[in-house]
Amino acid sequence: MDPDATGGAPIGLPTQPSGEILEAVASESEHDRLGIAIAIVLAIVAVTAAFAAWRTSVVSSQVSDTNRTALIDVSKQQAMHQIDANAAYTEASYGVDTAMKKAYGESLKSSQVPALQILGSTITNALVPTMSTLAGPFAAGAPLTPAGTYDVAKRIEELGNANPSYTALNPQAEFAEADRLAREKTWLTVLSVLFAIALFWLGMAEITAGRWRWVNLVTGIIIFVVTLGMFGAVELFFLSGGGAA
Amino acid sequence: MSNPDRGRRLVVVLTLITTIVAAVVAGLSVDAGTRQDAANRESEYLVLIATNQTVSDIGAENYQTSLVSDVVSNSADGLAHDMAALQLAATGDASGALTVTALANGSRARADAARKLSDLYQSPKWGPTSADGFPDVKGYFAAQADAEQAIVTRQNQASDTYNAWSAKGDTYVAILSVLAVTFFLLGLAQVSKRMRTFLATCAGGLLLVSIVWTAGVLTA
Repeated sequence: MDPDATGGAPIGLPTQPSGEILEAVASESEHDRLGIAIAIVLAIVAVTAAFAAWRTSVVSSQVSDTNRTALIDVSKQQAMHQIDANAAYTEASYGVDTAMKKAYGESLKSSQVPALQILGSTITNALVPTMSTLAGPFAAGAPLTPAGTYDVAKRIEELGNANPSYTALNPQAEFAEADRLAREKTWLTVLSVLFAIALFWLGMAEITAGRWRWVNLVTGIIIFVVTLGMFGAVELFFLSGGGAA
Repeated sequence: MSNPDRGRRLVVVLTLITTIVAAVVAGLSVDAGTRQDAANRESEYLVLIATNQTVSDIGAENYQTSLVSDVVSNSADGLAHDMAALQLAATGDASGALTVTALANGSRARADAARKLSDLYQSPKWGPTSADGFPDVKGYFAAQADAEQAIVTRQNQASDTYNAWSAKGDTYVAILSVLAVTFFLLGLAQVSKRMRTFLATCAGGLLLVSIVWTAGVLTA
């Protein structure tokens, strides 16, 4: 066959593409471009969702760590309190013994029996000063309650305040910080779920066609943009120390 | 708009509603988890406080009962010495009687010193109602035990609160699982023309169950 008879084109094929074919190719090309665009958006949302999930996990760990530290500090504080209480009650007991011995010695000194007077003097002059060294501040008669008894609670407080390891502990502040971080965690978790939901809508846009593809795409993008804005706002708010009760 | 379009629009609307419900349930679930953690922490904190309070109270009770014991024992010593002095005087041993009387005074001086320092003797609440009476040691112990019990009661309440929020949190997770299935069905309904009505109906039913379930948990 003479190729010139068909203008050089193979037999059976049109020499120029028809209008329908051009439209179909153009539509297919547009469809591919939109598919690629949706895939890019999906990738961006997936990375953002992964970042949000990571931040949620970090904050969640911080909540657990802060609570754990606070509880450990409470234990330490209670242990130190027990040591101080033990010391204060020991001092108070020696204070009572000293006061009783002193009263006994004074009583014997004022008796009419010379031997007992000597015993009384020995008790008050030799024994009582030695015993009083074990009574701490109670030997000097302080601190006292309004009723005139030893104020052991105040002495325990004094011992605690004099101990830098005790005063450095502040579990209540740590509990408050844990509560603040827990509020941040709540927000971040909800936003992570919203990112996942945006992914769902965009996934639907990837597999549907026509007008509904655009509906799914726009809805997914709106959810993503709103969630991203909220995510940024929440992070800025809490990183600047906001959210305390 | 054609019937298939109306069907698809319904699926999209259902998906939007499911999105909102899922976000709300996720929020409630996290909130339940946070409250559960807070109650758990409170419970653990109160265990430490209750233990510390009990040990502190034992120290205080030992100190107070020791003082009462000092008062009682020295008063009894004084009384015994007085009786001995009377017997010595009756037998004509004036010197012995004088010595024992001095010792009796010494014991009473010790008892008085302990009485002055005793919180139980000096307390208007627990102190003796008469000059020779005893303080209400039993009442003091009961009050100490009540204070400890109050902390234990709070600890139990915190533990109950923890269990309640834990149960709620578990239920919210179950509801979220149902919503995940709903999303799956709605996704299929968007792309499957033939099964759309059936899938959308199933999804709608699950969504309704989720909403009613959530409301039930929320108000429980």
